[in-house]
Amino acid sequence: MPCRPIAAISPARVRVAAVVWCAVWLLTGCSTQVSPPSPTSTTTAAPASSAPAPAPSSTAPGAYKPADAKGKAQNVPVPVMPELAKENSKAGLEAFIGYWYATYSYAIETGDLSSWSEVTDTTNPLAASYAKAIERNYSQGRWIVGGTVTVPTIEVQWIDAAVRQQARVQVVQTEAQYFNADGSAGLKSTPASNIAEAVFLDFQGHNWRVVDNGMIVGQK
Amino acid sequence: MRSIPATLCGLALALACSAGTTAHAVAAGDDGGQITVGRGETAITVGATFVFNPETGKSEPKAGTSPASEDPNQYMADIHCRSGGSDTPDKGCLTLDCPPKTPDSEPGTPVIWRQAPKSITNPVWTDYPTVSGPTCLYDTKPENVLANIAARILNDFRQLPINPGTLQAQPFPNTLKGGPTNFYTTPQQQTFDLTILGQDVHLTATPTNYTYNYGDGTTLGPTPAAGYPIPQAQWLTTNTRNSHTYTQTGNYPTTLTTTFTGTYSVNNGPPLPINGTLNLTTPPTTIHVWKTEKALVADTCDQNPTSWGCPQTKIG
Repeated sequence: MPCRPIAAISPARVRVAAVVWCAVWLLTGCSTQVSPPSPTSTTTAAPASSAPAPAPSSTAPGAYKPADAKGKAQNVPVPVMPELAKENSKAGLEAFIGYWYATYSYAIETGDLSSWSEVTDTTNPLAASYAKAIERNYSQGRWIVGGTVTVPTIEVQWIDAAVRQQARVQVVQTEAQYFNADGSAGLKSTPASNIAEAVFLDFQGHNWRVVDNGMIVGQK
Repeated sequence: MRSIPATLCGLALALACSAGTTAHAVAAGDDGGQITVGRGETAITVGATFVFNPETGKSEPKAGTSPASEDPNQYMADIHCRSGGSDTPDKGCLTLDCPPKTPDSEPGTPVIWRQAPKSITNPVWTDYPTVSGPTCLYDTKPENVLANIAARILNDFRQLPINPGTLQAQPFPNTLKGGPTNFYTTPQQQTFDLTILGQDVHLTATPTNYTYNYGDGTTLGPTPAAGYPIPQAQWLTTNTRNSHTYTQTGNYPTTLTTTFTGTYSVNNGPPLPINGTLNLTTPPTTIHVWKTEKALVADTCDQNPTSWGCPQTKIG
């Protein structure tokens, strides 16, 4: 994210940082409110999470390259919200949930939370924790290898005309490894997981928005 | 000052961003360490946990903060021994040898343990991460052995010589009426290695809840609080979650009932929950409740050994 707390910069570097920051800010302009992810982007269609290796040659410029021990992922396709996901219907909701997880997976690969933040109530404590974790793991030149998510099963409990809808989602996450700027291993890696989550959404204006979310830990 | 432009830019940046999105409500400094991005781990840490209600088809916030006694996962022993959902059998599967355990018994079958969340109707199975590679299951029909063990495991669990623990009190064995007597126990997880239907079964019994019977008609619990010892200086003056104040003198038989939950694993497979609990009660220990009487005295017992309340004086 372009917004970093000021305290993170040492005084000696302040001037340089100011120039760089302002430049970055001017270029990207905290554009998180400009809705759907850039129509100018052409490398779109597939959500990041389901793209194993689109190009055979990983050295080609512009080709998607997953993160590895040497560096961050490159040319990660920006998830694009399908038209269906803008519909206030069961099918629309299902499509939206797929998109929502793709934006999170994209953030895991890039540190860029903008698409995800647009459609998430980030005042929710869990959402705030997710955001904080991603920001931390991409600050100071750090990056994550793996940790991407796929959602093989989405079970929507649709209620006609209800403001709030909910779904059960199977979330499969790959092992996440954490790297520091100098390439050294950081935090102990997080093992792969296969869990069920509950997602709660409101249709606000013309879009779905995730208002609550968490892990399903048992049955009543 | 050199830093002014930077600060101004920073402020402008912060304002611009906060207007655009609330994602920056998290004010934590980025000089902090890395944080796990494991979704389940994070949800449990934050307490964002739900239970699924099959009757309503809805997920409901999980009440309380007690750790889940139920395993949210389901498991299967994949006899095709294929890893990661691919059609290529795991290499280890082809080379893993599962010789008969006794000369006249059947050899075992290599299996890969797979896992999926319970609350999803038709889940995708993934390899169970903590059991790497194939393991041997011993039964003519490996798909039956788990069901057969599952059918009898609760009964086996309840037959085990599990230690019910001990109830401790402060002060003990004599305490005073009108002051809080502190009760506690020291919980102990207990493990057993058994052979059930020819399979190696490792069973773990974990104390989860406690019921204190104070012997005077009052009980506490079941509660997840095992209690804890307190320094002697606090005896009879400090209330704890498990303390009890006797209102009458007398001798009271006190007991502790511990509720155990169990998990078992078959042939080094994943830990499977036992659907049922076991309650074990300690033999009663008697606590003697006394009363105190106060009086003003003129001398210490050294000065006047027969003064009121001194050891050489008759009570009265």
